[in-house]
Amino acid sequence: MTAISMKDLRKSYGSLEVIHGIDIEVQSGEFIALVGPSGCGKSTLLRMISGLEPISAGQMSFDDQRVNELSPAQRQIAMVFQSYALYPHMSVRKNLSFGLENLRMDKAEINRRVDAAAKLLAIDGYLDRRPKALSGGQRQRVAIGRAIVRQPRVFLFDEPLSNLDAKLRVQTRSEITKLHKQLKTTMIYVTHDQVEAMTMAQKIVVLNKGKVEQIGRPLDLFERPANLFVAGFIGSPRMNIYPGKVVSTDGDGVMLDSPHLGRFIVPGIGVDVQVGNDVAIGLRPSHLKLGPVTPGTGGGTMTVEQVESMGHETFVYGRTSQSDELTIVHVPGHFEAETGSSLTFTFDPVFAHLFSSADGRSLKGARI
Amino acid sequence: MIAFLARTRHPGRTDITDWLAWGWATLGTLVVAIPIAWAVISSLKTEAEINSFPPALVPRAAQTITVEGQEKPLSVWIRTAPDGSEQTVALVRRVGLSATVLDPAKPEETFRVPVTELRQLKEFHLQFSNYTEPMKQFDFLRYLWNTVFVTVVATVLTLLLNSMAAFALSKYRFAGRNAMFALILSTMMIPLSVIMVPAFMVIVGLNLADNLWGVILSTVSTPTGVFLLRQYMLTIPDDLIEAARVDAASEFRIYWRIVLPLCAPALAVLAIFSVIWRWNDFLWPLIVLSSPENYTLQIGLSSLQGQFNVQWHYILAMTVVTLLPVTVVFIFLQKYITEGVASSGVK
Repeated sequence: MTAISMKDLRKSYGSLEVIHGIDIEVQSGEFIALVGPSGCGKSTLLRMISGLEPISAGQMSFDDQRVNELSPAQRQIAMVFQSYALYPHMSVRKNLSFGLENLRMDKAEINRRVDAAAKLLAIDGYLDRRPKALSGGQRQRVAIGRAIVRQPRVFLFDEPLSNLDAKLRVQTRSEITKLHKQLKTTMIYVTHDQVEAMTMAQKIVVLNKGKVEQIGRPLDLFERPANLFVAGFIGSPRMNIYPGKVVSTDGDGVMLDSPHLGRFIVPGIGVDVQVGNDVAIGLRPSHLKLGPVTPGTGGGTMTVEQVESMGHETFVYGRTSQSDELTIVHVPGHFEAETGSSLTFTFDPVFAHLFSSADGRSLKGARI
Repeated sequence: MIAFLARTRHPGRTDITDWLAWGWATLGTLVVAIPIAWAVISSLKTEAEINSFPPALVPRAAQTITVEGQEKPLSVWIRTAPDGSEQTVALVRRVGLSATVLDPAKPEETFRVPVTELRQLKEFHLQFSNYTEPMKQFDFLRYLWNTVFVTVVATVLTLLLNSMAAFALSKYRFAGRNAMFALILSTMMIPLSVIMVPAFMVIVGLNLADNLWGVILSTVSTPTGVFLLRQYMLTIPDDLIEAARVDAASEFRIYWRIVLPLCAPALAVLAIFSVIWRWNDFLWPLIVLSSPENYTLQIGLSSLQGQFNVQWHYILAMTVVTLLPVTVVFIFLQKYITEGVASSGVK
C-alpha cells in the first residue's frame, strides 16, 4: 500500500526532452492506467517509476519519501514486462523464487510464497517446467506470479496483454482486476488499448507527446474529455469531429453552424464562447441516429462507404459531402445499407461536445 | 550417410557439377587426411624404416634371428647366388660392397658375398617403443601436465575475463563504449611476431619469464573471444536483465546467474577455440619458457629435433599423442565448432 506522487517529472536524452513535466498523484491501493498512442512516453514514464530509467528532473516520491535515486529493488516495485522476460534457463519455480533468493530470504518462506502464488494463479501444475514449454497465457501468469511473490509496494504492468489472443486477453483482464481487489496493492498499468484502460483502471492518465492530457475516472474521460485529443482517443470507435462556427450566443446556449451538420443550438454553454469563433464539434457514434432531421436537432447526409455488422450492433461508415473524415454511426442490431447509398443522420444537440479550434480545449458544458 | 553423399543436383541423374563437387570434396579430404594418416602410420615405424628410401606404406622391421655364437640377433636376408638359386642367410657385418653372412643352419661357417646379391627380409612390425621411450626419456608426462595446466587454466580465465568484458560492452551504456570495442577489435590485426619482443619484456618485468603463468596470463584476453561473446550477448533481451534488476539481483548476480547461462552456446565455442589455441600454441611458450621442466608438449616435441639429428620416430609418435586430445574435443563438440565458425567467422 503505497501512494505515489510525481511532481514535474522530466526525462531527456541529451538535448531531446521526451517527458515534459508530468504531475500525477496515485492514491494508495489505486489501480491507474497510463494510456496514449505509441511514442507518447507512457513506457518511459513507467520505467522512470520503476527506477530502470533515471529521472532527469522533478521529484518522484513513494509515501512522501523521495525515491529518485533509489534502484528498482530499493523502491520495492515489481514489474510485468510486455515480453514477460521470464528467465528461459530456469524452471517456473526458479523464476518465481529468483527475486526472493536475491533478498536472502529463508528457504521455507520462499517455498511458502511460491506455492501460494502458484496456487493463486493456477500455475502450480507446471512449476518444474521451463518457460519454453508453456503457452502464452501460462507465461503471462508466471510473469505476474514472479511479481506477486515479492509482495511489492507497487505493481507495474507494461502492456502485459498485448501478446495474448483476444479471448485470453479478456480473461486475463478480469483476472488482473480480481487480483487487484485481493491484494489491494497500488498498480500502474501501461497500455495503448483504451478498452483495457477503461475496463480495468480506477483512474486513467491520458498521455500524448510526453505530456498529461487528462487524468480522471474512466467515465469522466468518456463523458467529459478535456480536449480534442482525449475525445478522439477515448471511445471506440472514435468520436466524430466536425468543424463549425459560433453564430450567436444567448442565455440558453450557443447557436452553431456547420457545413456538415447545418444549424443547431447547443444548450447550456456559456464560458469563453464568442460569436465568430471557430469550434470543433464532437459527436460519439452512438449519439448519431439514422433518420430525418427534425426541428431542434442537428443532422446531415452521408454517402455510405462501409458497413460493419457485428450482429448485435452495426457501425456505418460514410462521408458527408464536404468532409475529409469518415462519419461513423452506431446502429443497434443488424443493419444493412448499400455502399454509395445516401443516408440521413440526426442527433440531439445536448450530446454535442464543443472544442476550441485554436487549442483543442473543451469549451466546458460538454455533456452526455 | 550414403544417401547424403550420393545426392545429385537433379534427382535421378548426375551432371558435370556433381562430378566436380565430388572430385573437389575427395581432393580436399585427401589433402587434409593423407599427412595425418602418414604421420600416424610412420609413428609406428622403426627409425631405420622411416629414413629408408623408397618409403613403405606398412610399418615393417627387419626380420632377425638369434644364432648360436653371435651376441646380437642378426638380420635375415635372402641371397640370390649368381646361378639364380636363393638362400636365406643372416648378416654378420657389412664392409663396403661386401658382406659377411652365415647360414643359420650352420652358424659356424661364415662367408663373404657382394651386397648386390642380398635382399633384406622384412616383416610387419609396430614399433610401440616410439611411444613408450620418450615417455621415460624425455619426461613427456611432465610436458603433458604443463600443457594440460596451461590449457585448462587459460581457458577458464579466458571465458571469465572475456565474458565480463563482453557483458559490459553489450549491456551497459557508457561513454567511449564503441571506441573501447573498436580498440579491442583492432588488436586482432596485430600479429604476435610484431609484439613478441615488447610482450616478452613485459613478462620479464613481471617476473613471469620461464613460468607457466607467463604463458597463461598473456593469452587470456582475446579480441576474438570478446567479439564472439559480445555479439551473442546482444541477442539476449535487455528485458531479462531489467527483470533481474527489478528482482533485486546485483550486477554480478545478473552476470553470473542470467547472462552466463544464456551464453552457454557461445561460451562452448570459445572454450573449444581456446583449448585448441592453447594446446597448439608454440611460439609464445617457446619464447617465455626456458627450462625443460616447464616445457609444454609442443616445445618438448621440438626439443627432439636437435642440431645434428632429428629423431623423427619420436617426433611423429609424440605428435600423434599431442593430436589426440584436440581430436577428441573436436569429435564431441564439432556441432558447436561449426556453429561457432559460422557465427563468428573465426577459426
